[in-house]
Amino acid sequence: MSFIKTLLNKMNISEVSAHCDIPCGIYDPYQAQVAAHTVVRMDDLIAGLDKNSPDYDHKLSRYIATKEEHGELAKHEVRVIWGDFMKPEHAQQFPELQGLVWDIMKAGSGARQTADKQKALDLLAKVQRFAEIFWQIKGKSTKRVPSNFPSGGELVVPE
Amino acid sequence: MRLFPFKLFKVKGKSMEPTLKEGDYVLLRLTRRVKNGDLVVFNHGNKEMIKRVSKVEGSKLWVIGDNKSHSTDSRYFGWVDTKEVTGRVIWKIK
Repeated sequence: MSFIKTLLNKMNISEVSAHCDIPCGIYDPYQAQVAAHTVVRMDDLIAGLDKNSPDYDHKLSRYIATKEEHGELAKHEVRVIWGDFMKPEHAQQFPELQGLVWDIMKAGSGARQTADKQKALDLLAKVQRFAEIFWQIKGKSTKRVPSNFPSGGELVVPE
Repeated sequence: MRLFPFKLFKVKGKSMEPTLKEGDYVLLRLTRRVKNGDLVVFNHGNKEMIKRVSKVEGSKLWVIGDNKSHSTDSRYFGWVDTKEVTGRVIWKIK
């Protein structure tokens, strides 16, 4: 450290901020994918329910509640990465990005509105594509690995 | 007219790396006359920030941190009015 700097450190000099809001840089689209997988799983469980079972109403309510929550969670996770981590130059680099995020918002709601598994799979596919873009921005290539969840399908992970 | 149109600031944060690191000092010439490429200190939301001018349009400045992936700058808060400018860096004490 220079002599001047040592001297200056002893003085009370006002600070100027070269900051970002929180320079945490900790983002991962993993949670969004897990949430989308949960929605898929809930649709499977709802389809497999026995209507004559005494706890049918109870189980159905729980599955729907969980599906609602995770459909919203997938949207939330994507929104945070898109809003906080991604920058305008990333939208230029990936022309599909803005439309994709928009579609995820719609798909998340669509998957909540019905128990149609196709809608949940649609949400998952879009979130997976979002995950690929995220890791590409970070300079990492990705691969698709089996999720090992009962919902089947895959997870996009960095290599 | 100011008697002593200079001011020292201590840098906090990472958005100007590698140009300026946390704990470096900058000497400012207190002026609102800045140009493209200048390091400027300006007031934003009751806080003084340091960034680099990347565009000047009339009395509006577009400011960006040198460490783009760790910087909150005009990409988020838009144009900065030159009225908010405290001064321009004339000396970096690293």
